[in-house]
Amino acid sequence: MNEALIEQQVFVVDDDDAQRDSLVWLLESHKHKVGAFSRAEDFLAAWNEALAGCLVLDVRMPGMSGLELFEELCRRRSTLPVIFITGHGDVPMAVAALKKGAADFIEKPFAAEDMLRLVDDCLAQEREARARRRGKADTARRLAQLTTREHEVLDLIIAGKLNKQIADVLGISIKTVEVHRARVMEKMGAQSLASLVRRIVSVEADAGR
Amino acid sequence: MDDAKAGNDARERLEAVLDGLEAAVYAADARNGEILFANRSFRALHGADTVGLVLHGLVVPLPERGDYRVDPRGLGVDDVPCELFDGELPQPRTGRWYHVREQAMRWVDGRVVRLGIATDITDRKETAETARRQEERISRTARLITMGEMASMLAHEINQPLSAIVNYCNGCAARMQAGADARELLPAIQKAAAQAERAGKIIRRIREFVKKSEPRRTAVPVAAILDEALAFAEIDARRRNMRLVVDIAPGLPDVRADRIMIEQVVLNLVRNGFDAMKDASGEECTLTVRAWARDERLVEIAVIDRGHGISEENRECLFQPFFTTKDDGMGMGLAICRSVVELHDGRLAVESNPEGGTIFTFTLPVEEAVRE
Repeated sequence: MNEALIEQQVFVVDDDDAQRDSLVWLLESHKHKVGAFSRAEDFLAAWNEALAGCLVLDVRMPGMSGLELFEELCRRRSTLPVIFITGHGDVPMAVAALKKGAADFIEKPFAAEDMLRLVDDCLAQEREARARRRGKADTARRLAQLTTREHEVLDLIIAGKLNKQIADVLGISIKTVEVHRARVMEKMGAQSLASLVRRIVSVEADAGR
Repeated sequence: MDDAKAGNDARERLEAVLDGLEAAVYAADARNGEILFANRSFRALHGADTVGLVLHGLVVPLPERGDYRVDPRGLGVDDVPCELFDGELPQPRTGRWYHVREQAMRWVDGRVVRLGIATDITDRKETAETARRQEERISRTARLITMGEMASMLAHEINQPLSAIVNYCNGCAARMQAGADARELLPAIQKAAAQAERAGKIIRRIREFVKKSEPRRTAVPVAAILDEALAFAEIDARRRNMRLVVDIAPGLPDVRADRIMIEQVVLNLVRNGFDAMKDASGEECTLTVRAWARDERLVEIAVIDRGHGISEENRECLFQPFFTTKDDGMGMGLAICRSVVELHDGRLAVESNPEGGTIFTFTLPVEEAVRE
């Protein structure tokens, strides 16, 4: 249930046995949990939206190429960051992938620390993105629990109104406003006015898009 | 009266149709070539109303040229209709090509005429010609390309085992630092060793390939080498909107060289020159290839560009394998060029062009001097 405990994995998709096996070895040596696939099709079959971590993908593969897999994952709204491994002369291909939203690319043969740094960056980035999405979903759920009156109070709080002004606008007593206000803070799970505003703004910015 | 009018209408309609054709249509007296009819295209092609003129030097087959199997001048009314000619002819004045079909038939007044139709096929012919020429070049220079391809393949193939070795070793290092047991590392080290062997095999294969392509040196005219290489470069030059000037001193002696290898060197240098001039414009976009006799024993060839030039520090590593300043370069071109020139007992040198840009020069031994 607790998403924070979901274990991130590094998925490696590469048709070259030595390349794939050695990369798995390298990543496992640095305490990463790794899933390896020799064909893009195999990874696609195993993919689901709950997968967490990042994907290391060889651009050139027989059958479905790395680029094609990436495009298919984009269509399926996968949120896994993708690192492309390119050989000599594949740079234009990699640049095209970057333009379509790939996280980064790395040229063969690569230095281990470069690959490890990229993987760490991607995992951190994915973890944050997931936390952000989770936060938004949580805020939306909490918002749904507010009564109509509490919504009105919340809107005026966000608009920067003082309790007195809110009471005037809604035609209720300051005391009642204070009660509503406390309920809103409690239901939204906000410790401070600042955190309340931040939460609402993040959801609204998303909805406005 | 009405019949005559109907006949007139029919003739006018027919003429309108013929005038609408893009092909040139004509009818000429089979005996003396006098033009009896010409449609609009035919008149436009010859710049005047041609009726009454004699067919000659126009886009038509000629008996004098031996274009016909049967001389149309000797045909009687009983011999027609018959096909006279079906073939391609150039218009000598404009140089354009036409597909011409002619038929002998009986004209309205009882004379035997040649009725012809000529279609402009210049564009189609040029396309076919270009394709044919390119095909020829590709097959003739298959060996020319292999070196470059080989280098690229080598890079790709050897990358796989190399990066695997790097990964295995780095993984081992990390585990050793974390205090891993030696036995845990063993499989990775064995795999790394196997990958090193794989790389070695690839290199051995390359070496065998190179051995097979040892130079075959013969006596070759310098102009022949340059013509072939520059025919290629010419295509490049046109595409890049650059000028290629060739200056071969007259009366150069034959050189002793592997023709294809030297062609490759010249092509390589010329293309480098083009690349160096990609940001230049106007007059500066000129690349000159010059050949002259340095003395009785050596012919010198220079490739002179007006490009961005080469910095002092880059010049030092210019001929080293895998050194490149190009985004998509391999860094093999000049290294191979120098090896090839040295195989010919020559030297590939580089200097700055006083007018801006770079001059590459190399020498080839004169055939007679080698034989002595």
